[in-house]
Amino acid sequence: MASKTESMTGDEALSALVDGELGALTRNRIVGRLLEDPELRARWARYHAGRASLEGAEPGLLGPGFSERVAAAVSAEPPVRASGRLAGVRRPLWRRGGAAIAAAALVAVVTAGGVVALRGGIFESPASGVAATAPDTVVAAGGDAVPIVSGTYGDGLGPAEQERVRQRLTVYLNSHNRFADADEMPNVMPSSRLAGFNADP
Amino acid sequence: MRIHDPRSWRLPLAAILTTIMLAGVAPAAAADEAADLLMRMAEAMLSQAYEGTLVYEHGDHLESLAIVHGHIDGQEYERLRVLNGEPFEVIREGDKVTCVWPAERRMLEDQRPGDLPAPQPPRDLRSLPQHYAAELGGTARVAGREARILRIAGEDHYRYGYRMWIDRETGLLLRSDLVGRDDSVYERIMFTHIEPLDTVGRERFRPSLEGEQYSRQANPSADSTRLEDPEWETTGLPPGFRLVSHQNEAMPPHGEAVQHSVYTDGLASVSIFVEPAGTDAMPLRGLSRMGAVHAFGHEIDGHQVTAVGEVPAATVRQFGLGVQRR
Repeated sequence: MASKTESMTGDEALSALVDGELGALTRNRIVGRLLEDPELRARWARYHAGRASLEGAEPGLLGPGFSERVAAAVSAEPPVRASGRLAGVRRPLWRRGGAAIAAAALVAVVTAGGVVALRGGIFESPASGVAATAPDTVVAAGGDAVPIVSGTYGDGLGPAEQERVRQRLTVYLNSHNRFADADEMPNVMPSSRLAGFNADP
Repeated sequence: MRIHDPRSWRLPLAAILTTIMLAGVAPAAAADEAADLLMRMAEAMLSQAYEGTLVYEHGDHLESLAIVHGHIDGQEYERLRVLNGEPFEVIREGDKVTCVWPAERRMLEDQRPGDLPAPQPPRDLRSLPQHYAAELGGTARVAGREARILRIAGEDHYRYGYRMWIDRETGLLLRSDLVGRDDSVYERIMFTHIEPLDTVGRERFRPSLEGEQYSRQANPSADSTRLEDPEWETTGLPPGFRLVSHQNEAMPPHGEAVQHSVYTDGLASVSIFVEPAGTDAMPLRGLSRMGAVHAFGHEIDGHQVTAVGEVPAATVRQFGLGVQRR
């Protein structure tokens, strides 16, 4: 007996994925098909761009060339409904991002046959006070590498305590970005950091 | 007795000298070209009007952003909107920064204090800051445009390097990766679409909120005063870093005065915050990481010290441990 995804056409499945109407299992299967099928990825990008346009974003938002990464991010996100969000309930961005980046890592591994280098901790004890702190990375096609480890806050804290530290750090980061850009090379990085760290305060 | 003919070593010597000269000239020319490209990018990012969409990847976050940038009456404007998740936007108007949460109908206005240095026009980047080296790479396509790749490597463990994809036609920065010494990417910005503009109207920089039904507040941290004689100093700075400014800030949420010192090596920067301990129920202890940004916190002499910057962990740790009362 055919499963729900198998019985859907490619376009129906993509539409459902973009609209966040698929369950986790089905969503993962669709993402798996996206990984294997470049033409499907391109169609997905067009669908998503279309929806972004309806929501007020520019259509150039998500080009097909970037679909792998963003497909993973969207597949890991719950549907965003303009009128359906519960008042006062906010899901921290770093939690949503954690799932997204895990999916992105999967994408990189599957598509590139890449190498996953995992270590127990993010920070290593520095030798003589100085050490490189290489992140855990997935090496993707073309030599790109993406960090796959979630943000870590403080030493030995639980998730709730880390979240409180994260909120506190956002205050420091705002101030840092506000003053630091005076002497930096002109680029969009400081503003993007400001946006990135405040998008879900 | 064997007599050497002086002419017998002239040819090999000339070849050796030529090789040495060429070896010196070629890298110098490449370095000049890299510096020219960097200067062109810096000027373009400041002066060029453009709009586009970009992706900002940091740590485990992935944000899609829409940007429009330009000048009106000699003042630089920039509007950046987050396109995924909760709506959020940042609007820069000269020194004024406004953060907008449209869903909550809330705005936060922030003004760089008048006695602090304003953003500088691009300085002469022909001589890169010490401890960095530039290298020209090949070409690639980003956002449908031809780009030249420029690598800036940090020469020690105290700073990251950069990989930049610079538009050959306009000089705009199309993609930028902040990379470690092992080429791991810590932070990435990449345009997926960019459009140079001839002009840009003021209406493009209006926040999404209209009407009166929204809350508007000033950021208390904007109440900053420059410190001529700071109580705390940082010793044992990592090589190449220098002090840019000291100021006292009324830091939210407690509103207590916090000494904020900013250091830079010319490309990266580190902030040091010192405040009385006990103002925060969950003070930062040890290291934290958010993409390229590291933070290190510890307590000294009844004060909480927090170092934050887009530098490796070893750098913020050294900064944090070097803070002492003057």
